Amino acid sequence: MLKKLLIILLLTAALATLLGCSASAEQSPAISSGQPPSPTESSESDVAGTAPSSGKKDQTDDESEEIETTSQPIPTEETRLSPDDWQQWPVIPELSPSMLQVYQQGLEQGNRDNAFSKVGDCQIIPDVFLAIFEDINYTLPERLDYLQGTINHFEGSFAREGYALKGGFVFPTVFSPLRADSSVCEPGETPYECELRVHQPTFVLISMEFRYDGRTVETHEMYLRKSVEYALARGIVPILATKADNFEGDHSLNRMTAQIAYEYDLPLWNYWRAVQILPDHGIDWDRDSYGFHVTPDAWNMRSETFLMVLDALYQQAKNSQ
Amino acid sequence: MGWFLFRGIIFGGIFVNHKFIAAGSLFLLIAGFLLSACGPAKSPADVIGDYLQALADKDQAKAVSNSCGAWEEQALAEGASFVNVQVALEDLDCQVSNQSETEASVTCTGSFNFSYDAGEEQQLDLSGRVFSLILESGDWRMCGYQE
Repeated sequence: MLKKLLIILLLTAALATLLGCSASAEQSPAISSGQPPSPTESSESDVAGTAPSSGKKDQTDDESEEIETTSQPIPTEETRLSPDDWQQWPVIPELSPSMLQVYQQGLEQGNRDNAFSKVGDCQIIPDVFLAIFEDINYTLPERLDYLQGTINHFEGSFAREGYALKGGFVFPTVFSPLRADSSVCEPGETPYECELRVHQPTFVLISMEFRYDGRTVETHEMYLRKSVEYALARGIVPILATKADNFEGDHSLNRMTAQIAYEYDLPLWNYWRAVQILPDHGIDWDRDSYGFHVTPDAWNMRSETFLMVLDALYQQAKNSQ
Repeated sequence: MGWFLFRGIIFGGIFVNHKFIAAGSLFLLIAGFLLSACGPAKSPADVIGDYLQALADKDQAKAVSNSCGAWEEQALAEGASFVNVQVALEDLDCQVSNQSETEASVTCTGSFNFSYDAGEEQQLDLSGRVFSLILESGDWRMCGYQE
């Protein structure tokens, strides 16, 4: 009797053990299934050239879809020169991919591919800058013959003054509604806003050099950023420029201009570099002791190199479409 | 002395009794109270006139003092825009074109005449602009251009 009882007890214990093991297996099938990771996750990791996926091993197909990859992108190598090295930046820049995109968006918004605007002071008024290219009595020198097409294409913008350019203008002026031409500009519109609305350019040259009380690197930066962001929001590519003079003594304004060009990936026309080969680096010390005004040779250099810049940027934009 | 104050005073050879003194004092007190509650010291047109003159005088502090808080930074910019030119305000005449309890619009005729670097004369015609003002801290202040 006792033996039978013992056998029954042993069988019951064995049965209970078997039943318990089965329940455990059902609760954690992933561990027991031994399924490899989904091929999709593996191939994505390979294409990205990144670290292996950290998805869980031995997951079912359904659960593998929930695996999150934590790939680390490899940053594009920075090949651009630092703003600290702005003096080595090329005279003729290129359009970055982001600016090509801005250009294209601008065309879609209705900007004219045969128009550019100028925002500036006495250094780029038509009398001394670009207007000669629309003078019927002027002939391009042979070495610049290749630029005639660009002159023809942008005809009307070279000799045009516009509403954000005049002798005596400083940055605050082009942001002052009071200084806008009320016969053309809308109520409350600044000269800068008015110019870009009326002329609908694809490029805008921003070149403010004239010193004024209250101009600091910080105010220059503030106004330049404002100008750049307003243009970019309208699909207009800003072209920044260095200046020939060093009135501030430490080139800090040119350095700041390069900084902004760097941050926004804008084309920078390095006019300062272009005039370094001229006597006195293009500064007309006979005209003023401040070293602000430039010589006639520097005026010519300004017009010619900007034409080259415009041609290079336009050709690049046109070929990208 | 006490009798003197009780009965009145002799002012300019005329005896003024205490009742008249009390009535007069009360009148002055009430008048002063009413005058102080009359409103802004300058009309909207005067404020704009002062604002524009401050720009011509390159007095940025005065331009700012005639501006609302939201316009102060722009007032400084407008002042700075004239810093490099010789400027004069000519034939200025400003009129209120619209006014409510807290807002006003002003139009002006006249012009800024200025020259740069002793060169070409330039003129900035003020007609065609509408100056917007608000009542701030009890005074009218330039607060932008109507759009």
